Amino acid sequence: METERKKILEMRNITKSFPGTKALDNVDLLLFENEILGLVGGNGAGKSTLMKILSGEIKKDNGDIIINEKIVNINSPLDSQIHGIHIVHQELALFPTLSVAENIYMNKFPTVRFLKLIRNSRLISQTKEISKRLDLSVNPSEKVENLAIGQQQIVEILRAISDKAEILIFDEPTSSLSLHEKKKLFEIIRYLRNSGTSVIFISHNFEEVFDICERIVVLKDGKNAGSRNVKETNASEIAEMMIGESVDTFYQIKKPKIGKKILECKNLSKIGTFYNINLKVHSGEIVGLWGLLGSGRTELARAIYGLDKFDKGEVLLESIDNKRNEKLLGFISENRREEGLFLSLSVIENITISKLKSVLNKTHFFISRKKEIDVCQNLVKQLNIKISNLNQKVESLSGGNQQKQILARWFFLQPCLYILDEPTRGLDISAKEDVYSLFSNFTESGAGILLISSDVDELINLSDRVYVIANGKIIDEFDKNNINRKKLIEVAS
Amino acid sequence: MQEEVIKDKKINRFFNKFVQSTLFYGFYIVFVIVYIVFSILSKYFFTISNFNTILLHSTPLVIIAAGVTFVIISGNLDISIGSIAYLSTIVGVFTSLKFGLNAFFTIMIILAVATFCGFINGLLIAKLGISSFIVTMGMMFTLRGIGLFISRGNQLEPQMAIQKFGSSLIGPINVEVIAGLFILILAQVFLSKTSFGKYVFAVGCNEKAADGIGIKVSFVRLIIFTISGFFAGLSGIFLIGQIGVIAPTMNSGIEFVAIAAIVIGGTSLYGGRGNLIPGTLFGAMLLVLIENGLNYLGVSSYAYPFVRGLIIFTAMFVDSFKYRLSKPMRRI
Repeated sequence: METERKKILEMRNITKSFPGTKALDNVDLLLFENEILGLVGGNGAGKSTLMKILSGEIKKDNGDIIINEKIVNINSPLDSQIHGIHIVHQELALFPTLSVAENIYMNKFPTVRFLKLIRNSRLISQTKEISKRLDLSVNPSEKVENLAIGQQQIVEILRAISDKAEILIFDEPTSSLSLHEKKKLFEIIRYLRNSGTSVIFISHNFEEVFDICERIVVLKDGKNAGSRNVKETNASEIAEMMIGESVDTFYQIKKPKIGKKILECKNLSKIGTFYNINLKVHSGEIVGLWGLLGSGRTELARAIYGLDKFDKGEVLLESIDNKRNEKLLGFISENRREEGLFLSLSVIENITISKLKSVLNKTHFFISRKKEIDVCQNLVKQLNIKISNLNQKVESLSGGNQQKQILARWFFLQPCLYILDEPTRGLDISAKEDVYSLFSNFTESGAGILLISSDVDELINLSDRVYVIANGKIIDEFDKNNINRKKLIEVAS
Repeated sequence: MQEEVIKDKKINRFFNKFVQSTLFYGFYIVFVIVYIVFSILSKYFFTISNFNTILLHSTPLVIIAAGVTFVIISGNLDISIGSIAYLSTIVGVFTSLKFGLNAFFTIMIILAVATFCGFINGLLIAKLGISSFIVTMGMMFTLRGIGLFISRGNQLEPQMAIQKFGSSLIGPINVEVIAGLFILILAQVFLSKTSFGKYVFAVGCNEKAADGIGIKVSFVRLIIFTISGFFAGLSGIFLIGQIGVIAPTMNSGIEFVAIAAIVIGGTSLYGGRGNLIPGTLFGAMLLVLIENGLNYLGVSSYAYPFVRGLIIFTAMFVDSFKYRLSKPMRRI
């Protein structure tokens, strides 16, 4: 059946080396006309590199790109656009202070002949026309910075369509969308497919891939790991292809006994964000906080940690033992690059920064290099983190290793409570597994965990209790024994 | 309870909007208040002739700031403009005096030298990838040095024709003011109505994205700095027309006054937003207005830098505040 369909894109023997690593090793990729192709693989598997080669952002070392049965040269983003290839980036490539219409037509403004001035009326009518084609309503003169993320993404899609995109690449498009926005996006993608566009869909989330794609290509360590039709496979087979082993034990982590109360929020309120929040976390317990984007979950976490002020109520903290200060908390932000990491510093510096006092030398003034190294080596061993070189700059690590390194930083501090906001966002399966195993290190040390996650399965399988938050209020609480997916999703939406 | 949440959110949104629009229009309010206060305190301030003086004195600052506005919107900085203006006028006047050229050639030479200096700025920044602050700081010292070397540290006097240009009137208004306004309007149209103008904003907003959709970022940068150089030369002509002499310290420190005028006018130092009219125009006029008013009140001229500093602090604070306010909106 596959041979009957027209091949629109073929990538053959693509190879790309970066200093020190081979990012892609003879990778092949086939895309048929009117197809939605899922591209999956762990962090560092080469998905992004492959797509960047296709979109002209980086150059390949070797191999051919064949579009419509002709070998083409792609040396710049412009080349790739000329061949009808467009990419919708995970980090949206928009100009926030400019209007929707200007964002869409930035590289092709309709102009009058005299002085090449921009024809504003034409610009706006064209924008309206193109959004009508997708059955969308957008205000062409609205500034992009005033739009929600989902709508901003639509602006990028419209830009691609206005360029007559034949091949549209979505790089992790759902990572910051709400459920409703996700549904809308999928509708649009299906509509595009039906009207003749071929789509490559990159995602970590199997559920989405199985929902929307027809065929799945798996990459592992820069090589092809196989391709399957969605109808003839299942999630666990794909996961096995991705990490090369079975995933039965995925969510199984060791759980210690639950001890005394360490956190209690009493009637915590912040006007406009959350109201009358009452919640408790005990020692050794993992408490889930489930809610949609914008439900107030992140704001609540920030307020408990003390990053933001709240208006009413109180946060009570108690120590597990006499040794630890109950005011010490660990916090993982959902934006690890912006709010968590010191990107240009080394792994060691990033870890010990949480408790520099304990690595000072005899003078109590200078930092002891030897102590730092000892501490980090111990931590790395204890937490089973695979970091080859402790002096490596953090910006050069993969997302998974970066996250583990932040977790190690907090473990070094030995707080009583960890507040984790989307700790596995953007991580691949094997990195997730490693992060979960760190959780058991945390709870075994007696600490409690407040876990916020958009991944329902993760939340259900790891948590001892789950609070549901919607519109800034806790509307339900489930025990480990009576949680199920359906309820959670229904309650929250 | 639910209603309470919605109501609170509404109040919050209303408050945010109120603060934002106050910040946005705040500077016009200040402009009017300052004008009224000075008019009350001094009977010589609120006169047509003084209004003309303010306009005339603002013109060189507005012109030089106009070029830098392009630079700042694109997310860069140009602090070499004062030295560009000095060097180009020195070269223009010096060669004209030596070879007996007329005023037209003087002006052409000034503009050519200034544009070339801006072009070199752009070339270094675009091709070598050095930060614009560093490059233009180097140029600031280098160009001033070359100018001093040519003039031997002496004052030069431009031809009478150029000095006349500074003092002739059309009706009640000075020629320079009309020419300056005309140039400013052209520049504003160029900024807001052409593709290139939009590229300037795009590069300032999100350089990577601009590159991704095929805008030649380094070319845009090259042109922007060339424009800035051209405007510096233009402003130099206007200034020597008014003063009638080129002093060795001409326009030193003007860079930061220009940046202050631009930021007061609402152009963001973070790049991506701003305009020439009304922003830079009124920003520059406010600075001149305040010094003019202080002069009429008999305040020591040594106090001017202090007052200027206060205004700049306030403007920068408001700019960062605006940025902070708009940031959470971007994250929704």
